[in-house]
Amino acid sequence: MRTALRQPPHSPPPVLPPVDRIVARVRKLWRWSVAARTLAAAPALLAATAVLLVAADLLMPMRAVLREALRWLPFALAGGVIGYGAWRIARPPSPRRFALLAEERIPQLENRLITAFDVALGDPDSLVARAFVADAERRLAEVDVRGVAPFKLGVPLVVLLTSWCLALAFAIAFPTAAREAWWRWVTPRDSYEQRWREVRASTLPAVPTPPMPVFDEMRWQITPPAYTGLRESEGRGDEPLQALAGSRVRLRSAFFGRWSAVRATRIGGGALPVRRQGGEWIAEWTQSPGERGISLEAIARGEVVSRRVVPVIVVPDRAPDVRLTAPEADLILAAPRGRIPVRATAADDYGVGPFVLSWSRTRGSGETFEYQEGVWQFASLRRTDRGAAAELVLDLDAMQLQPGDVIHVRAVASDRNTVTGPGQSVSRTRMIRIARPDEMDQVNTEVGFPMELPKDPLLSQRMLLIKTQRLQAERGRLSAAELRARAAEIASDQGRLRERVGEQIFTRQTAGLQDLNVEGGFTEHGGAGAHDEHDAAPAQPANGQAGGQASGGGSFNDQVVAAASAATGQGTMDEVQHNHDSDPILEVNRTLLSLYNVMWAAERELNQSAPNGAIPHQLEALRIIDQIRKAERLFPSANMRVDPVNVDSARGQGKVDDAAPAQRAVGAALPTTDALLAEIDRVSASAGTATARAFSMQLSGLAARALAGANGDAQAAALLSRAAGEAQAGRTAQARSLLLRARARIAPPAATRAHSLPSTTDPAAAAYYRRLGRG
Amino acid sequence: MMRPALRRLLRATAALSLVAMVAAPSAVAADAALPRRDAVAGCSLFPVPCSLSFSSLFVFATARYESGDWNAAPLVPTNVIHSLAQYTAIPVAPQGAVVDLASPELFRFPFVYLTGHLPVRFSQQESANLKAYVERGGFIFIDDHNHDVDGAFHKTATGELRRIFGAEALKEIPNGHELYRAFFTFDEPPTTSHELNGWGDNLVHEHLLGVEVNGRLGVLYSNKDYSSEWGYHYRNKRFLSVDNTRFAVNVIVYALTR
Repeated sequence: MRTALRQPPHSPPPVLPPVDRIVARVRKLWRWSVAARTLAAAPALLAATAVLLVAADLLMPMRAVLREALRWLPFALAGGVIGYGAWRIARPPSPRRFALLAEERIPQLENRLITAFDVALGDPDSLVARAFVADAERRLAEVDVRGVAPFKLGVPLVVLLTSWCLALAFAIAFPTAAREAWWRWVTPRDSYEQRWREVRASTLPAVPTPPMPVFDEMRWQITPPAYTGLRESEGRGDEPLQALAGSRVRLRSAFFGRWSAVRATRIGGGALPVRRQGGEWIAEWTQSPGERGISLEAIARGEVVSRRVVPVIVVPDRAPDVRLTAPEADLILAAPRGRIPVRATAADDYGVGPFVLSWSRTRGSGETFEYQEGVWQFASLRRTDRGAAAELVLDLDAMQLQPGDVIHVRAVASDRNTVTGPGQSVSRTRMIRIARPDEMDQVNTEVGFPMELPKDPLLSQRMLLIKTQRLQAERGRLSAAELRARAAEIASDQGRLRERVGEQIFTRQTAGLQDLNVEGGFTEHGGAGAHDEHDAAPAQPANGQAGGQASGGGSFNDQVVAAASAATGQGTMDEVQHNHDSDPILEVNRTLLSLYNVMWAAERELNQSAPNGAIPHQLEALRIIDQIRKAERLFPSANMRVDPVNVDSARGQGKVDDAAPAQRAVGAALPTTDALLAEIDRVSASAGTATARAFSMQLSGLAARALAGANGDAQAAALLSRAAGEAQAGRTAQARSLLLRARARIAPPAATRAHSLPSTTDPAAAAYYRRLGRG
Repeated sequence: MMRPALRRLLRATAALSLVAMVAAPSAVAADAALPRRDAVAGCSLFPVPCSLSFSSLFVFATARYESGDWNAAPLVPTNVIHSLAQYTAIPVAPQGAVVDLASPELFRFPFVYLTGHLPVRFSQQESANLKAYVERGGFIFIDDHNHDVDGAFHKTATGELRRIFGAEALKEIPNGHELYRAFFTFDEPPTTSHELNGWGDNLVHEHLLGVEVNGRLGVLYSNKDYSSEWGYHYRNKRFLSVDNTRFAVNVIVYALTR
């Protein structure tokens, strides 16, 4: 009684086993019939609907949106049929309905089957019921239920076969249209009009072949490196991409059905993988610092049908801008005491990383020279989004500096660049110097620190003259002792100044760089008395009277003194004029020796309490000093100006007797843009005759060349890429204008072109170059 | 009634005034359009006419930097210019120029000379300029005027170069380098009398240092104190039995031809 178990609770089970057996067999046949018809009807419906839709689209073109929606209709219908059949099989009708079906299809049952159900609902033990059961068991045992549930597959199979035949016939008769119809329904987002033109072109010979699709509008997406904290950005791909090194760049656009592949190549590099996703191609890469862009090529039937160059401009991550705001200037301190605040700021385009104070200390000189350096952390550091401000107070007492020490400090900041960096910058350097005791009269120490005055400075010759003139004016009111004391004081200062001049002479004589305090053997002792050989020292320096002896040999001191005597006109006329074989050094020093002697004469007059006798010598000393100041500086300092070189007269005058001029080979040619410019000119000339596609392809090739090479120009490549886009759109004039702009950018200005070396017309120089083998 | 002559005179005066009113703004505008010497950045530094650096003449440029003493060897430029004129056919300006290391004018000179005694700390702009200058084909000759191995200039200048060009960028130049055959032939970098007088290790360095960019020497660094060796008035060159500035010719010829 399996059937009874599946009955609803209100349906009583049939009472006769033959009834139950018949209902079970009818149910089984009915299930097979439903399954067979479902499996036949579903594909038939799918095929018929698809054929009808395609036919309708070919005869009356639909919009792409409608086609995109309707292409799922056949599948939905087929799926619905299968689902309905499965549902019917899983939930069959009640046994009573199967009994009714059997009664309808098998006339010899004569309602016994359905009556058996009614008997089961009534009183099965009644007399009539027992009589019916006895008869029904006999009759029902002979019933054959085959044919109760026929399959009826004719119509679905006819529909299915008809649909297939129609589709096959259309594909054989119109293969291009069939392929187009297939792709139109597979990729409904493609431009219908373009496809329709292609179908017409292949089916109707009078219609020209439509153009191959080219790169459509591209979109880019840039994901900056994480350290920048910037968000993703998107934009159109017809302008140069600008990305930081390390950015993830994604480029995408439509992938047309007629293309077989899209190929991407790095400019100056290898291939870049391109993946296809739906109806789009996607190229994705991580921007490296040297990346200049990519070249895209669409391939169809093994041929490049479209090319586009996408330049990429790498945005530099600039190093921080570091400024040392305090101290505002270099410091020279009189003593290593006190506290000096050091303040610095740093700003960066994407935030400041480590920020420290770098220092170096130099101490001593010569063989005791010391150099130390290190890094201090700032005591306070305040950070903002894009900058930082820091401060550190230097405690000079704790640093144990010594006079002469020099501290250099500068702020050093790094950015957070983890891709190409970190970029590091330094501020300008501030110097903190501790003055030496012997230079206190030469430097300006900072306000607020004790300043030591020089103990015994030298007086200038003009000051000595003024003091002497004042003494001479006050002479009548002074006692002899006062006159002698003040005159001796001026004489002492005059002597010190004279000794300084003597040291200069000595330094030149030995050409050494010795300490001026070193005993040089030229220090005067005791004034006039120490120079017995100069007993006849000139009373008047400028009178030119001869006297004394000029030594022509002997010790060094003798030579110097002899030259000094000659400078002041002593000795015989022959000795005075006999200068051609004198020591060149002494010849150079002759003016200084004259100065030395007149100072000595003034000093001697003052020591004799005769200021009026010293004043003429001092005036002469001033004149000589002024003369020296106006003379050419033979040993100039850093701020000197040198006369320009007379290049023409110097040509070919070099000493080459011992020189071996090298044999030079022709070097490698420098990179030039001439070839690219010539190609641009050629392409520009063909603008009017070439087809739009060919012109566009040539421009894309030029863009790739402009990016490649050592002097890649991304801006020029961008102009050429835009020109390619204009050309493929048929706007030749705009493309040519952009091409000329790119050419003007690539072409170097005339002033920067190399000039050939001029040939020499000087016979001496020409002979010289011939000797060098370069004539 | 006004006389005809007076009327003509008044008419002519009015016409002239009208012409002057029209022409004056044009003349002012034309004058304003002329480039002025002061308007060009960096030109005030030039001891030579500004146009000289833009011509075909080679101009010996000395780099001026913020730290240290950039002008420690004022006689070297003139002396080297004289040597270039003596030995080569290079069209050379009779006087050198001074250019700020941080100035864009730096890029107008193919060769720059830098020296000093004191610690060198390049500013951010100086560092960026120097790196870009060398990478674009410029040549800078840096000479340690301090001739001191442990000296402040050497430690700081080499440190700055390593910071700018990379820790491994500054390398010893082999003595067979083409720098030593660019014009005259040298077996090694010429020695100087000053290197032995230094306060450091008292050694003569066998090699110069340099930074190569794109296979070309862009930075030449010397410990030998050529600034002292070449720091004399060029008129005194005649007293030398061997001209010691010939290596400077090699350096400049290399800078101009490689």
